Amino acid sequence: MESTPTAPARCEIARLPDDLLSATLARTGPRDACRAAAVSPAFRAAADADAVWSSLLPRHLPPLADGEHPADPLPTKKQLFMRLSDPGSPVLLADRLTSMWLDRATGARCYMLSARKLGIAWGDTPQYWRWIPINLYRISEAAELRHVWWLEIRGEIDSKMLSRHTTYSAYIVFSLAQRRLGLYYTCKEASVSLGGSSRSTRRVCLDVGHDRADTWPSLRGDLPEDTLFPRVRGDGWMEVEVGEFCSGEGDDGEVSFSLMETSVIKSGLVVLGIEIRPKEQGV
Amino acid sequence: MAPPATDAATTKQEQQHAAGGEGVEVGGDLRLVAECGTVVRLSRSAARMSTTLFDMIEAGCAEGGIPIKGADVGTLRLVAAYCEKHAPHYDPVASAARLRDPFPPFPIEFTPASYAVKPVTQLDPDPHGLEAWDRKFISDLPDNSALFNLIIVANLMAIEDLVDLGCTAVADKMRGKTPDEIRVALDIENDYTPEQEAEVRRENAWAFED
Repeated sequence: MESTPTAPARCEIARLPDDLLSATLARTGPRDACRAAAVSPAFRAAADADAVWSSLLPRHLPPLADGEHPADPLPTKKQLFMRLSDPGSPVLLADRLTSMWLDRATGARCYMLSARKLGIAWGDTPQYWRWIPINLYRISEAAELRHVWWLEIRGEIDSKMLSRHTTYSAYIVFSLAQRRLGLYYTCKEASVSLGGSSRSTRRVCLDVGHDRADTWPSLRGDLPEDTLFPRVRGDGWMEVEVGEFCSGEGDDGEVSFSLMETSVIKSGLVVLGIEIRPKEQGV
Repeated sequence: MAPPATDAATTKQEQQHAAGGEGVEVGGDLRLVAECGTVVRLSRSAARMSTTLFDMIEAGCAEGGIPIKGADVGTLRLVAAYCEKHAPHYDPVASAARLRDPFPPFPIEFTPASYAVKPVTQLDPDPHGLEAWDRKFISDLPDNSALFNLIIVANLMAIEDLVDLGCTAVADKMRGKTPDEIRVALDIENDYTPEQEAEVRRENAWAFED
């Protein structure tokens, strides 16, 4: 073996050609690729390069609604990634009923299936459900429950639209009217199924206040032990998890979601949609 | 000390070569020549993993010594070991597809809950134990310098899977670190002025929120 110098040369990473440094930074992830820009000017150039952000962007975006593409295309892929991963302003898909954004930490594709996109039993019967205008996440209508016995909400998404090898959680996003019935003491059956075969079912409650049940056990009523309770989101709406699923290679057909409960009369629920996003890391 | 084995092999190859026009592909090992002149042998099946060598074999000019410019013998032996290990399970089409459209291109810590629905077709992620071998291969490297040498030579020889492995290993050293920690880990000088560094941090503010 030939002799090597006793003191290693400084800044060895400078020996890597720019394209390999960019390939390395692409493999750190969006957050780290942004942090790396603060290491040195050379790193900044490599970290901001299109080569890095092209690999963090999805190769294919689903067809967008007319007018969604910005009039002046964004100059860099990094800017495009930042724009698409801004959760406050998702893009509207061609069906005008689904909005999409990227999870900024992972680059995974996220979706909001608006209430109109979902199959809500009796949703078109005005005495049971009313459609109210809103303006949130590119969604223009939410479904307000006036009263119904038969609560059945279904949604689906083609697994091809999801990022591969990702564990996703699906949430029903809703709010509660001041006056409501049949939501507190009852649980709904929420399920997720993949390709019509594998299926998982959980029990969820759509009402709040059960956090006081530790001191007042009677407030829980007869809700099963494993009932999931909702939490308040940053945007003021509520969400409860409908289920969790792994996306595999994207050739598993439709991912289906459902929420059902038909035992009591209910009212005072406002459904925004079903949100699909990567599972929180480290959970 | 003269290496008689090498001379014998050369003679044998020359004899086989001279034996006839057909069967020019004698199936003998390739002889890669490091910068210092030492020869590192690589079987033909392992050489498939290098697009450069593959093209040379196809073009019939892989006989004799193939100089690998700028490669020291230690790095070349490591590259050969990687190729020999991976060659039996190498699928160029699957490899190219994976590298063209990797998702995610970096590890994400998702552990699905016990109730999570999984696709029926989920396969064993590491059927041949190659990932475990690769992890040991990288951790056995003596220092960052060896890792950079590996990436540079693998890039030169167009061994995409090894370039991917090497770049991922460097990325692993950076992930989750502050810029200062990255500078220490990779021995990088900070040639930003304080104002410039503040500007970059402002520009990428979301990445610094903890």
